[in-house]
Amino acid sequence: MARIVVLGAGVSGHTAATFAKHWLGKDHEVVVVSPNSKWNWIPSNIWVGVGEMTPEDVVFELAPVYEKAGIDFRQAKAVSIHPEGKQDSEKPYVTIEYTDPNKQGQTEEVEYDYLINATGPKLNFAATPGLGPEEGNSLSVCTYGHAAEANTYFQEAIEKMKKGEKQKFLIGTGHGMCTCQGAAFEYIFNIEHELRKAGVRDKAEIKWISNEQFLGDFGVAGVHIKWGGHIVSSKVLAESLFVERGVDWITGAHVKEVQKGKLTYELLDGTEGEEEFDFSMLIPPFTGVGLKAYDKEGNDITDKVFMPNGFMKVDADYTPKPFEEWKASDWPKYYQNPDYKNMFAVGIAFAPPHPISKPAKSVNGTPITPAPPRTGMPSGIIGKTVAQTITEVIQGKYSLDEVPEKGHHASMAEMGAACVASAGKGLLDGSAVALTVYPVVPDYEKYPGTGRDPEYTFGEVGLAGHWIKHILHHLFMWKAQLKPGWTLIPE
Amino acid sequence: MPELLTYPDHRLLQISGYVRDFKDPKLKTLIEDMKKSMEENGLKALAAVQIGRPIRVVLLKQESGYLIMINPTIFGKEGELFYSSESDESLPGATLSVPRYPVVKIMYQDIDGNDRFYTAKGEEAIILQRKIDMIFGGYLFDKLSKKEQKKFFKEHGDYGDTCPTYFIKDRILQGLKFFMVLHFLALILSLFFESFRFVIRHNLALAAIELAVLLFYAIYAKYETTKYKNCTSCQGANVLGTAAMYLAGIVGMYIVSLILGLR
Repeated sequence: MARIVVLGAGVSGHTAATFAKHWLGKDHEVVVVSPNSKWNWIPSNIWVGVGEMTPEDVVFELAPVYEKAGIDFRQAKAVSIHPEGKQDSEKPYVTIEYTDPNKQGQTEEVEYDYLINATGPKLNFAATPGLGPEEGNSLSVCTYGHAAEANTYFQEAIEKMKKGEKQKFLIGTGHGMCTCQGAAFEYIFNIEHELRKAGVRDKAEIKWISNEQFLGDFGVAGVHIKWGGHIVSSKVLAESLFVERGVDWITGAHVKEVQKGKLTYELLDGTEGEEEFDFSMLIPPFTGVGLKAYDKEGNDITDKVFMPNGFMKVDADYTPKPFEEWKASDWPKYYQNPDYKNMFAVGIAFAPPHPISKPAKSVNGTPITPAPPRTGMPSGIIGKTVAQTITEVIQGKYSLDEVPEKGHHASMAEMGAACVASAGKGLLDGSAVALTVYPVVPDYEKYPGTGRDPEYTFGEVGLAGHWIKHILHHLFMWKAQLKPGWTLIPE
Repeated sequence: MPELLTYPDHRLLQISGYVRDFKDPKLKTLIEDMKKSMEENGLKALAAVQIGRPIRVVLLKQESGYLIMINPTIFGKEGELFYSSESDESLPGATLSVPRYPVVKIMYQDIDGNDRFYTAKGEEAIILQRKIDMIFGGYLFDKLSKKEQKKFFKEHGDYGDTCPTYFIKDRILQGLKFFMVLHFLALILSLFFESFRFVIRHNLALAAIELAVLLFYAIYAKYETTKYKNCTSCQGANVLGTAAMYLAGIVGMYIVSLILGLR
């Protein structure tokens, strides 16, 4: 009997664990280690953040779902990986620390044959002084708890506006190296939509602040959509939407410090500015969760297993190179650690070789470049692909050393993604931007110029997009709870 | 002399790609071609795509010479948004009012690939916003509202593969809609007149006919719109969304008929 240990139960970890168990059945063991007792459909958090959904609508308890599936669930956080085992045992293991209230603080060694690191990110609010809900200066929608808190403040702001008070909303990214511009984009337009619904739009000033080099970059060097009958960049779409909805913007900004009611930022040209606000939701930068790695003798090998940003090294080309030399082949295909072949990393947990957007530094040398997104559809596909590879290795179809020739691959430079970005929730007055991008990571050799295939470009703004977004919410909640037909629902 | 493309030439209506190889001698040749074209046509600024080269290069003629901007992006702006009345050599005969900022901050690379910054004001800001839009595939008419855009296409012609005004799929849908409205009216009348109770007796058959027409619509719409690659209203999501709405109507009427049949 082989044992797969999955660290993390987000989109990619949960997908990997559930498919691995589905394919392997009772003959093999799947263990999931996650500090959270609940699964969260994160894309719907933006609706929790404006009061259109409750936290209960976007989560469910993991334990009963895993029990039904025959997956061993440990509510704990992973602390360290020991890929070579220890002095008296060859068996690799991870050390975990329980967050389960019944075993709070207890530690345990969990041995594994195959490890899937799907820990997701640490929300690194500390990278910007004063950033984040804990500091009390800015809000977040990265977790359902954060989103619920953001909604409390949002409703208070609406009440103030109803009494005639003006409010300024500042939404975007809280650092020069953030990712997830898409979530902030959805949130700002949902805020705008809700303020119109509440009849207080005239009392609100809404402003976007982000680290994108241009409006509509979204951390993926922009996407292309069909607009007015021909293909245009998301820059054109975003600018039009911002003008249409009366939302002001600042891009190319690294937020330096957030204080009560104001923040300071540095722009690409080195100039500095200050923005005041009454309500601010700023996405933090991400880092790895801080997992350590040790060899057989107990020596710290964290640097060997992880990149300096804390994300796990996989089969990517990490040689530093300028934008002009970036290639599609830099991106990992199998998500297998090069030194310990039975370790894989999926979703945000794998270390990308470089950004997707063209990198930029301010004249003062401050990096102001969106980090590459590894969330949503790609992260689900990657999780499932790695589960498929490990399943086939366990079934004896090929060895771990043969994974680069025979394993299943899911490079983000070969993969398309569909994205539905909400711009307001409502059965009849909602709207969303629905688009596809292929490939996610531009392949400048295959598609000279933009790096993307125009034949697979699709984009639509309107009510139908909102319905799709809402249907997807229910579809993915259904799938994640392993309800009948879950395997038929795509990632 | 390279040809200056004008709307609705398809070579003009495309997104430009990044310049990644600054040592490529073709880049210098392109810039020389652009300068010649600007001199010949008396232009203040030009995007490479305007001479059929979809590469992110914009040239601005200044008193001191040509400002060469490679991979330019607008990362900042100052001042209040205003509506500027503009025309462009790429859209001869058109003057359109579009939103612009009075001051824009541009990041670009010079001919050697070094990062540079430029703050453009006044006329320069307007023309550079227009030219940088072009390298991202955006033209003056893209900044118009849908209503204004329709008017523009009517006056200046479309570019061949925009949505035609007549679709057979729409006629099928109109027929289905007409049938369903009659069905619905008959359903209401069946509450009062026995002669209309046939809609309840033949509920399943009526629903089957409607479903069959809807299925035919979905298949035919897919076939009919395949050739219109650049037509937003022809995309699968629209056909799917429309079919879903009609399906809800058919199922709704079927359920109501079932309930009425139990009375």
